Amino acid sequence: MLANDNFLTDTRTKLGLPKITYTPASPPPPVFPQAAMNIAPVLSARYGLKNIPPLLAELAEQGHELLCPSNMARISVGLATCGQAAGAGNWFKLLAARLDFKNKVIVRHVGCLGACYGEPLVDVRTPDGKHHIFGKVGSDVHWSIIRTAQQHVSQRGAWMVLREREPGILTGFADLEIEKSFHSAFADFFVHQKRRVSGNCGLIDPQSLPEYIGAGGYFAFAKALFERTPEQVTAEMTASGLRGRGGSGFKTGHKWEIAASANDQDRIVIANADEGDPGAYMDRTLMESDPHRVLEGIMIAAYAVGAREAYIFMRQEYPLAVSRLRQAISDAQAAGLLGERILGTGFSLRIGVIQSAGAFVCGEETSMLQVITGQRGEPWPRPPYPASQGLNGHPTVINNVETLANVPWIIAYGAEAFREQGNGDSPGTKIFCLTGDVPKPGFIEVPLGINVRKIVENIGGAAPETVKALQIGGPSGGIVPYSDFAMDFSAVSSIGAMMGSGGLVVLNQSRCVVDLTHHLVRFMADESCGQCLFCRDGLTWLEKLLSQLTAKQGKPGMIDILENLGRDIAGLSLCALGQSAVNPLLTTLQNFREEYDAHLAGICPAAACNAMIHFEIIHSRCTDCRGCYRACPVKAITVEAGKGPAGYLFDHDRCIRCRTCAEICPHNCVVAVSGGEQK
Amino acid sequence: MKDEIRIIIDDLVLNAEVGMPLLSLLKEWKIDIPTLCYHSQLGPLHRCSLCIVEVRRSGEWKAKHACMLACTSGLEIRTISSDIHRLRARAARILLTRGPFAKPSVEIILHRILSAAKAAGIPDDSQFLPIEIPEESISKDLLDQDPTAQMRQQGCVLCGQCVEMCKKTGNNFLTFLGRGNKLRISYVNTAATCGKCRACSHVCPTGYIHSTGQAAFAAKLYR
Repeated sequence: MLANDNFLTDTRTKLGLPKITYTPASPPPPVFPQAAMNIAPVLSARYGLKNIPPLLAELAEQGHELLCPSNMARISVGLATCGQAAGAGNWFKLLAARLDFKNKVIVRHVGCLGACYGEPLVDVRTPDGKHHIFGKVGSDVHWSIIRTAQQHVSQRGAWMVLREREPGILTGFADLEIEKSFHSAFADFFVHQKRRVSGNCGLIDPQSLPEYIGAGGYFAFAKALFERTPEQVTAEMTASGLRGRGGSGFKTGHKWEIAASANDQDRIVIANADEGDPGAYMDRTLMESDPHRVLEGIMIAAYAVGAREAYIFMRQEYPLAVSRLRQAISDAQAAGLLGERILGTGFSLRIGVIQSAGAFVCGEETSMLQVITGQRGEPWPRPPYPASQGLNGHPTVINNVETLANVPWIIAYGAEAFREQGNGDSPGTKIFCLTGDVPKPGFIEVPLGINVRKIVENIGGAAPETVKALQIGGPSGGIVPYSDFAMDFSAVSSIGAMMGSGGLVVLNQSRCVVDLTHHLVRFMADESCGQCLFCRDGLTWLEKLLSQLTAKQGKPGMIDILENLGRDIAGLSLCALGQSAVNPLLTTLQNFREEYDAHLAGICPAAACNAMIHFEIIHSRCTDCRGCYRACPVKAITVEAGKGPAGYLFDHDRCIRCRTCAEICPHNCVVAVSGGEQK
Repeated sequence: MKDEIRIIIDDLVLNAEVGMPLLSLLKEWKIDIPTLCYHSQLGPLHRCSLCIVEVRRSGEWKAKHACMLACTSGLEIRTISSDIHRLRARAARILLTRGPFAKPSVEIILHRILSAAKAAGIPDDSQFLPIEIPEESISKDLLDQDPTAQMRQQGCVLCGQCVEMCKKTGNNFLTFLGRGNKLRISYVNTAATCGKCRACSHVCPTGYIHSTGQAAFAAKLYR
């Protein structure tokens, strides 16, 4: 490679071009005394574990050598679903196949760092404890990555350089600080986050048990198993005030107490990974990027409530997460962390993976239990709650994957430390999936109680004036106007939305809330299990009414029917699906009622509903390029030659509202207009 | 013997067993509650949505289904109010859109609810219904020609009594299939016949199953 450089330099000199100086390969990187570092005592001191089980100590050393190699560079390519979709697999193949990396660079595939918009993401760790992050990796930075790894000096094209606070110790994203940023938007994405639960995501190889242990994994489990009684673990959870991350926000510690106090000794733990909300992928990313953390959470929960069997109920559509969790389970079993008499104690646990059949309602806990026993996924009335009588009548703790992933952190650092983030009612951090009309969508973890503006503007990078509304908590959450409010359980429910699982969809000014509500109600009407008449036929009725409203067929009095039918469905449905299915409708009726009234009058204020719009040309901007004229598939645009911009005429009856003309116009002069005279 | 408790229904104080479904108690005491999916031998099925009553919770009356409530100490319910009339009428209209029904008794029950609601001054919302309530005069032949009507299982209210009954006989040949507005009942059995015990047709409130479950549902699988 150096020969190549010389050749290039010589050629340039011959041609009389200025000489390019490359960053010299020397001086050699400073050598840190990492080879001698004994990581297990450091980790156990940090987590408050007194006696380290020899198995963990050994695996931690192995993992640490892979994670923070003392004299080699490490390239981590993000290969979660988002990375694969962006084509990261190609770069991984190219880098992993390099022969000149032998004994110099190790190439590993990792999970998702969270900045989904920047995929493919590549992290190059140099032996001095610096992480050079390259985003949107393409052929332009391919050589920069290779040179950074070989020469241990940051090359052009890196978006950000992170430094390990104590070089050689990496137990998650919290151990990193930003040293240099060449891409301020990318740094902003991380600065406002507090990555605890997702700390390992994008840093460790999800398929490697040693790497997880090397980053401090299973130390919390060992601490619980050897140095705490089950009662103490449950008490710690209660003290932490952790609330369920799946939707309703029930206190996790309380749920465990109920199950642990049951007379029935056959107790079961189930991790609910049937994540069906459109736009939410917290659980998927956690399972793909850090499956062992989920397992560790399940193991601690099982120890606390005295369960001997546990299940992970997975969504059918997550093949990568299923295969990674299956592998994680078999790795843990092979290492003796799962199975009979774990680590020589009397505690035994086996974990099974069950794949859901692919209905939204199966994520509801009682209907999930029905599915596990081979029945149709239909909820049953509660009480009895599953924590006292669940799977086959045994006490069953059902926790969301994200809730369980919080558990090792709480056991490791204590309830007190957990409460340092968040506020009294909603302690800790929460993972959100920021999607919609933001320049930087992604998977983020922020303290609960954070101002929503920080999420949307600083992390997401949206300009505040473009944002119209937020959809919080998926199709069962609510649509609320964009304003200042804190993201915590009570504040979000006080504005009529629901924290839900953590989907956060940003809607800009061109989105019609009535149309969106119609879309969400249709989703819920299709996904209702059909048991309750009001949920099944009532939602279908609502969907018809909304489709009439968006199709300019509204009738007077319709909005009142929408509102009281919505309340009836919420009040008379058996499970949380029906009770919350109308939340988008009720919140938009509360916050955007004028848009409903406008639709009744035949005007869509956002100019999004096709039945109510027509297209106009802003003549002052038009350059007479005829792009729209050529693109129109139905020839609804006619041009009178010689008249310039004024010669463009729309045939509104012929127009099919495909919006091709508006999209193709280079000067944005074709605009959709709702209401007013059709010219 | 379970504990006896006292619950209040329309200012009447009644004795009940803890955990007993409220609907069973109401039926036992012959209190007038319209239902289409209740059968004393099958228990509550939570399907027809007609058994709406109001429960007093922290001073407020909340509409609930009697079939989903269990008798607990201190339970206080009422069976007549204008909101109950409104909700039952709404449920009845939705059910009527699934008609016409082979047995007139269903329509009599539903129309009685509607006229009671009308007498209570509840406004008619039928003009907003997604599907028009079919006229009783639609002949069976016409129904057979309309493929969408067959797909919707027009004439069946999806009360699920046949499914439950078939399960109870030990055959378990009938099941709900699909979800949402595509929910339907289907006959799933690899054997040639279902045995013709006709238990399902005896419990069917609408007369949709006129001979056997197989005849009523087999042809409509995956339509």
